[in-house]
Amino acid sequence: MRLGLVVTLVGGIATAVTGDLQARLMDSQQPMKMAAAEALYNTSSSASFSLFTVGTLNGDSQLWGVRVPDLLSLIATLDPHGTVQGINNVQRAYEKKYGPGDYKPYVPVTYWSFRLMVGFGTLAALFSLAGLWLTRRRRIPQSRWFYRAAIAAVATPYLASTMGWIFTEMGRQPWTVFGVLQTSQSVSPGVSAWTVAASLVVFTLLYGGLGAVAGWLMIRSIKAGPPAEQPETPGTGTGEPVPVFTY
Amino acid sequence: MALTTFWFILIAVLWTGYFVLEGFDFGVGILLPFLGRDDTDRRAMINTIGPVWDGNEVWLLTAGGATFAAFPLWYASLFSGFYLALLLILVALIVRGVSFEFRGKVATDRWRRGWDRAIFWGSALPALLWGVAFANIVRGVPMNAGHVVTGNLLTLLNPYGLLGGLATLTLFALHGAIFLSLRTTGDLRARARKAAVRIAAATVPVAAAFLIASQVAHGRLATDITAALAAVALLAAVAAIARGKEGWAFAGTAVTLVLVVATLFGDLWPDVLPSTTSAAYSLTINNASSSHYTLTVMTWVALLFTPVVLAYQGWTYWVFRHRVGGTPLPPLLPPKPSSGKPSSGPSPAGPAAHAPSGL
Repeated sequence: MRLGLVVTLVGGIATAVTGDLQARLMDSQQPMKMAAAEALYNTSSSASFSLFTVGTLNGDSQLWGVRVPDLLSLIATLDPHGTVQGINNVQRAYEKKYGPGDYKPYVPVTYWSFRLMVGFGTLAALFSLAGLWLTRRRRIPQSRWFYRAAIAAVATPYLASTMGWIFTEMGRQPWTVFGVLQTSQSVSPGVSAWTVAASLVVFTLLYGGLGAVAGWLMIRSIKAGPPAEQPETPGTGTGEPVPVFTY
Repeated sequence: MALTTFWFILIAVLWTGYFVLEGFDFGVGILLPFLGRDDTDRRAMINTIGPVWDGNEVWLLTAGGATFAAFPLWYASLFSGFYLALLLILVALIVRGVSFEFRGKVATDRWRRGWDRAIFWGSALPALLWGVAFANIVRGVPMNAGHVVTGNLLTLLNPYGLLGGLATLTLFALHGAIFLSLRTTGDLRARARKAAVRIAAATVPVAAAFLIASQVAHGRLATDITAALAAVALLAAVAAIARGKEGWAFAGTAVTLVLVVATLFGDLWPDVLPSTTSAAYSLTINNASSSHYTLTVMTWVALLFTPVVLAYQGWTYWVFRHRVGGTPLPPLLPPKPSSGKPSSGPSPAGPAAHAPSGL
């Protein structure tokens, strides 16, 4: 378990560092994505980073939120007073560059997927930290909650990377290849909508069904408990290694 | 040699590797309900391909990946044009792959028979459809000036396409039967040999008809030679298995598949996807390829990494070279923790432990 905790912690830190490096790249290459991640509508210096916001998300009003001053500027430019471009400003710049059109991604999704990505990732790292503390010097934690949390923590890195995937795909909209190919132009001309719908339905049902069977098998296996001590199979005497039969 | 030709040949080689390797594991899957008389037989059969079938499928991925990178227009027209056929193949391959893993997890007859059925269909359907797909690639498909395939799934199911499908289906079944005779022992081995001879009675005429039809419509001198050699190799394989020379027979069907793929790609060249609408709309190695720079980078990557992949795949086959069977297979599922009374001796390898049902 400690091995898992160490790997999660190291992986979490490494992910945060590379993610941070990418933030600067994203700010210079796809400023719209950075602006949409923060729902920053107007270009500002010393931009703050919000942990939570409840608002209309069109930039008009903010009902409630927790904000860290200067953090967004720091992430995007390494300077707490640096300038971060806002959605409306980037939109105007893109209209000049690529012609009229809507270049804004759907902000509620980008805003929340970015936060959930960072949040789940941080949760995984924090859990490892707590776990390492609780198991220091080979101690065995007594609390049932620790073990329940450990099982739940399995999901956090997956959720974080799923959210990150949603963020990067949604944040790039309306482009499939930024600045080159728009999503609306990327559709295969020879494939009809019903064909795509059919394949989507088939794969959803197939993976859903197989996932349900896999889940059932796992629960069954957990309920069966660990196997009894298996006696060594007597050797055949030839001394030849025999492959394990997995099937 | 131009890089486009080099990549055309490389993609042909990847498909060859795929058909030679996955061909026998499709064959084993197809023969599972016919040669596997009881659960022990069927387990032995699955264990002959268990360690290698997923590695064999990597050849398909690399063939697809190489097509995407080297000839993006070919990939685009092919995957959009053959959308539903590829969907069927994918579903079959997914179900098949999972079946190998799931079938041993519950020890009831019903459960295992269900997954055995899935293995059969998951093997037979792609074995048929790959032949249909390749016959149609050689034959050409209706395609407009924008390289958009205008046919549908039924367009692919023309007589020549279906003949190609039957050819791969019967070739893979034969290849699989010979592979089983090479990799098993005792009664199963004897039955696999007998089955191979019986399947050959279907394979030889169907494969011959497909090769003749291909050569009449699309042949050239070089591929007439490879097609003739393919026929010779097939007959040699049948003669070898009839005489019990399993290794030679397997080499024979493997060489047959190599030559059949070489014939089909040779018939296709320099097109990659001919248009039956107008020859001017056909995709060729020149108008479908990536930039020279992309091909150069890919060539270096391929030259560096292909030997590594070949080495570890070869090593897998070496590790699992022993015949399967003979000594009774150990039971799949660990014995249940005995409630109170001690288990009666070290008997997991005993004959009673792997009765097909009753656990």
